[in-house]
Amino acid sequence: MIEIRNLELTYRASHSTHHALRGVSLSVPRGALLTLLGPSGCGKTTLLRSIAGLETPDHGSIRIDGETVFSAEDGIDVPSARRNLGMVFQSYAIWPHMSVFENAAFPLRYRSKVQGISARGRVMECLALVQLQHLADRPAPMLSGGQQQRLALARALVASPKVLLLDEPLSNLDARLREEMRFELRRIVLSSGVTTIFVTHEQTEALSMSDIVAVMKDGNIVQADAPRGLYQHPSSEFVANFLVRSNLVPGTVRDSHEGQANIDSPVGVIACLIASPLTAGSPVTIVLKPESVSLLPPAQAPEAAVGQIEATAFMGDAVECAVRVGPIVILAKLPGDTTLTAGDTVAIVVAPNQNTAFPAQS
Amino acid sequence: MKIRRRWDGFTTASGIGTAAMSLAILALIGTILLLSVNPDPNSGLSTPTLDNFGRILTDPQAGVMLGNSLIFASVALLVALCFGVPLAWLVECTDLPGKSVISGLMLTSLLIPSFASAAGWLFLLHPRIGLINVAAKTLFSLHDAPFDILSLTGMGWVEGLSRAPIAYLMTATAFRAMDRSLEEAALTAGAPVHGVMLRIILPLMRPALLSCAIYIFMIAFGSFDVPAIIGWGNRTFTFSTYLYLLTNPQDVFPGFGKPAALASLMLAPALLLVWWARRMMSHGHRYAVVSGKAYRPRLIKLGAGRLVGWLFVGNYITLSLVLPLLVLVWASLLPFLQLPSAKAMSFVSLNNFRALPWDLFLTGLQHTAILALLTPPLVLGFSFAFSWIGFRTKLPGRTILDQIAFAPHAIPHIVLAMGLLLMALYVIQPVLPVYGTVGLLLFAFTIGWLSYGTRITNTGLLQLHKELEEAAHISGASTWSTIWRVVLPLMSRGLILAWIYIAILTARELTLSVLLSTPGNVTLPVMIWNMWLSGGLGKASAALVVFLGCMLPLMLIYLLQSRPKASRQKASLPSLSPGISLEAAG
Repeated sequence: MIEIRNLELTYRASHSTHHALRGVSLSVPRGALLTLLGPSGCGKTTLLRSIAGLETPDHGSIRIDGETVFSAEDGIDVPSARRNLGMVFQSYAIWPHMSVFENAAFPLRYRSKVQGISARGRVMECLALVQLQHLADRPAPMLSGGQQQRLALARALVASPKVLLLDEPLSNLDARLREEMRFELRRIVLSSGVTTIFVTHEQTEALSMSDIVAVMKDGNIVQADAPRGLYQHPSSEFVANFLVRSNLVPGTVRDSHEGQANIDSPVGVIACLIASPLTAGSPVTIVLKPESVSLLPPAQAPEAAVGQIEATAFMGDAVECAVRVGPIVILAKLPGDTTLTAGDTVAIVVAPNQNTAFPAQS
Repeated sequence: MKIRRRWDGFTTASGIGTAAMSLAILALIGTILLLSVNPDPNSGLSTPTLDNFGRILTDPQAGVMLGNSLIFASVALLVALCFGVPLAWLVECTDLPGKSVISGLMLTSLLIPSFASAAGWLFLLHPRIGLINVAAKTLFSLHDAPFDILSLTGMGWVEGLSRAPIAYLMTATAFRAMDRSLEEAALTAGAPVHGVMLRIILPLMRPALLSCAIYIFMIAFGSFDVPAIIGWGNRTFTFSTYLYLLTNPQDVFPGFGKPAALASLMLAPALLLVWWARRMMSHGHRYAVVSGKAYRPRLIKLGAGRLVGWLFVGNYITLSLVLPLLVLVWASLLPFLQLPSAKAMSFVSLNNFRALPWDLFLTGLQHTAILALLTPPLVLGFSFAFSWIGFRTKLPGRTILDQIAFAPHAIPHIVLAMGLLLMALYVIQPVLPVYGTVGLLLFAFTIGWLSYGTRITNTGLLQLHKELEEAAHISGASTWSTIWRVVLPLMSRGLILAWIYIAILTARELTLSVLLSTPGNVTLPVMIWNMWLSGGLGKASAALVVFLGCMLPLMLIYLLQSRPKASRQKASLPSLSPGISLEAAG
């Protein structure tokens, strides 16, 4: 269990100040995997490093399993070495002058009462968890990127820490390996049962791996929820658009009931979810997910808005189409077997209640 | 449980150590400045006057000395650049074979003390006894000797030859750091090779070349060895020898006011120049970016030019190493210097060696050995502390600390030694009798190489990804354990090289010890110089040969260590050359 209260951190350089954290509060249940998601510069890594004790916030407090490890107000700041954490760094920080085994065994030297043969057993157990047991004697620099990443994970877990911190651990891997490691990482973290905080700027990583996703922007957490809830009920335009690269379509509220509204838009009337009550006639922005749009021959949907395809991009499993409807261009994501081409005239049909409308920002 | 974060033990120790060292350096400069405005320090402090400065500025000898130093340093700079820069280009940019041999030889000539090669060149080109002059006079029936090593040009030539390795190392680093794709881009844009040289390479190299030129000029300006060996007997004084003369006058009781004023006058331009050169280097690095990609740069094919290249290399090595050292050995075997001949062979003996004052020699050797053993750990310890405070803490004023650590680099060693002499005599002596002890020399050397040491440790720490240390902290290691188990092992290669290099510099240092020397702490180089001055050139040569023999193991270890290794450590480790190039040799 991690409880963070009102954490503030400002970087002051000689001629500029940067508010990295602006009063962040957050709690992570024991054994959960929480992801901090946000664009670069949103403060997610600063928050992680503050929990690790590598940064010193100006205000606020951090408690881990009931023990206050940081409190600016009470003048408490437990050094990193005594917070009992495991951390995987973005660069992995594998020590190149040690072997795989020595790297993984390092924390036991300081952390654990386990020594000698049982320590060796514990190290091998962790190496086995990440499938590196056969490379134990290899010099650490002779590992591939993916292996180094797994070694970093083994090292972070070996002393059974209270909290595991992962700082963009997948960002240095190539696309295919990253997909494999997503599942692998979740498996390992779940099997060790440790409370985990994971930092990433990749939406798919966040959605696929976490129990809770906390979306950050400009030093604040703007929304924290389970992945499905976040995807279906984003609380702001920023979160909706950050989770899925979307179309921002202007519209006006026609009528609204609880949690739902019909919106007049250039693409016709769209049934949307709403995060807050909206009055009829008020201007809104619809965050329109490309996968909620389908394109039909005009004859099949006589009431739908009609547009013309400007360009298509074949992605293998999907085809992306840019469709011009009056003044705007809508991006639609269609199944890979779609045979539409540029110049075709199509009817635009939006699936109901899959998108969210937010009050237009003036 | 309340735990307030405080400074850990190591950082506290570093903070105290660097603060103390900084104070010592500032006190040293302060002492010189204070004495320069005191007409008669022996009778206590009085109201500051500018009398000493007036005496220096109206001294005709000082004017001659200044002119001498400028000519001497300019010639040395020219010679050093003419040899060093083409050598660097040959090694870094062409397909000349045998590059590792060349860099080994360049390092060797860097390590040879310049008083040894100065002595060798004196034997070669002295207008009366110089072997080449004698030979030329006989061969071409000349009346006058064609060469005069006693002239400023002659001295500049010797100084330049021994500074060429610094020019080589500094420009080689710049050549290596240059992104070769910039050059290739110009070639593909249709520029001819000489156009690329003129419009791309030279502008890119300009900061490196300029700062290299400033360093060499300053080193030569403050050089003591060559003017002391060649110019002293002839009373051709340059800055360092003149300052030594003022501090150690042969006819009157030493008055420290005048030399202190002279030293103060040197401090401001020296500090300014070094600051400027340093700034330029950092600007230079900004666009001569080291590219992380390990692709082999395109090398210029020399073809038949290889022969010319090797002739150039061979020429330099002959002039800087082979000739002066051979003639030194030859001179040490003869009762008086003469050209090799059957008759000369009959005089060859070890008499000079037998006649050496071995008791004295062994005492000197002992002092030198103690210093060579203790100086490196002290220098590197303090340097690491300075770097740690500078890069791993947010202590206010840490950049000033780094500037202070770099200051000794700007100060000519003879000035440094004088500052310490004055400080020892007027400030410390009443409390702690340090004058004439090996400890005082140890302190002098520690300050003397501190700027070099901090260059090495700064680079080392900068190249270590901070997350490597943070990972150790997170694992539960204290700062001490992190340094011991992670930082030092990863920096070890650079540190070991620096250790040996400092040991060699210490063993061969003449300038720093010459003013602080008494019979109680005399070092080998000082002893040899005294023998040289007292006229027994054959005996002095023998002493030099023995001294070089003692240095040989150290030099060999250094050369073996500095060979590039196929390291299993992928993390890049501090390279030695930029550090060496910033070294202010005496």
